[in-house]
Amino acid sequence: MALWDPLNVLVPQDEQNRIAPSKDSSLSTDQEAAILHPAHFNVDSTIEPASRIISLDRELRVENQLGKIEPPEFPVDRPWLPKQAHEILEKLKKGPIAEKELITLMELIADRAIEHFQLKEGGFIALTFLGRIVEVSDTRIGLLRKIHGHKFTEEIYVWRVGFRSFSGRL
Amino acid sequence: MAMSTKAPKLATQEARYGVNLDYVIFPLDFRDLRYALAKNGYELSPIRDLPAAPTRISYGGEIARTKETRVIVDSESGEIGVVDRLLQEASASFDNLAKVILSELGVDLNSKVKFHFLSVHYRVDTGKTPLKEIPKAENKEFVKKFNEIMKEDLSSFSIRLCPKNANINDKNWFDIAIEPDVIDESRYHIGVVYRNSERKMIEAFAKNLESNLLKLVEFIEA
Repeated sequence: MALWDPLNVLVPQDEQNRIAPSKDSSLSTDQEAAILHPAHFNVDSTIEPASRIISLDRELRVENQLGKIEPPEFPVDRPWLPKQAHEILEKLKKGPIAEKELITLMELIADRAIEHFQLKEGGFIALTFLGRIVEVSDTRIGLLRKIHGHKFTEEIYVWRVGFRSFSGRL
Repeated sequence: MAMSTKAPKLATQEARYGVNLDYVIFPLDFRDLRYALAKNGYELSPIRDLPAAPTRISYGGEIARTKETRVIVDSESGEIGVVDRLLQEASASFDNLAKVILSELGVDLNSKVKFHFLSVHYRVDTGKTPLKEIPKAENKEFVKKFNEIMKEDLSSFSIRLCPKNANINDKNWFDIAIEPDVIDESRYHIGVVYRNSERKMIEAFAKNLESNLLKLVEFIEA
């Protein structure tokens, strides 16, 4: 049995940023751990190698010396939005839109955010028009208390998970 | 031995499904692929300073997403596939991706394939403690000797399964790791990698994978 733990190899931070191994899904779980962890993620060397522990550091953008293009991973804090939502968002940037269209937009965004964040039915969420969740609560009052007095950089609205009506817009 | 009355729950953390293509030069140009995916409703990963055609570029990582599906490509290793929430969804999403690429770019992801692959990570909750259950499957004689060598009381942390007499570097390979979840030791983490040169073998393996994994865990805990 090999007792050498690849995760304990110290790689300087600048070295980590230069190395750009591919995410080869055909590798064994050990191979994955050995190749992926030192370069892509902040790794706790006390964990064992077969687990996949991924940090939420999404800022790492790798451009290695070979000129390989490695796109940044998608942000986990906002869901994919359908084309119709993007079209309405574009219209919204240009000026006011009809209430019916706004409700459609809110429904589209809320549906995607609920799926993306796997939210439980019945809860109340405050979310942005890009689908970011800013607060969650089991009750409407609880949510309003949480967001009361906060200044948000983006416009938000309140939605009940699993229901087709919005509760308010800030 | 008293059995737990709690029904085992298996939750998928992430499922990857795809192919490793057998081309000398990767057949999908980055710009063409991005255009084809965007045209078909995928959101593209933001890239700045993309060189103009006909410069051939290598690329790797998450290049697009639609709903909860992310498209992963590595032009150097020849890999293209998807990451999804469930294995069955990943298989279907890969078929959708293959359709888009065939119709838009004329490249068939199901031909000239070195191997197909799946890679899945699960969490399993049985109500029991994996650190106590996993050692049931260990070889007591070996552990006794290990104890002597290390001068510590040791036990097995994980169970690793692979095909007997197979070569780890072979196209046809699998690896199943059963271990405690390091985030929550009351649950198991099960990692599975399977690759095969034939798609039907992947499909057959995937079909009963989750029920088979639960049977493995049930047998360990019995």
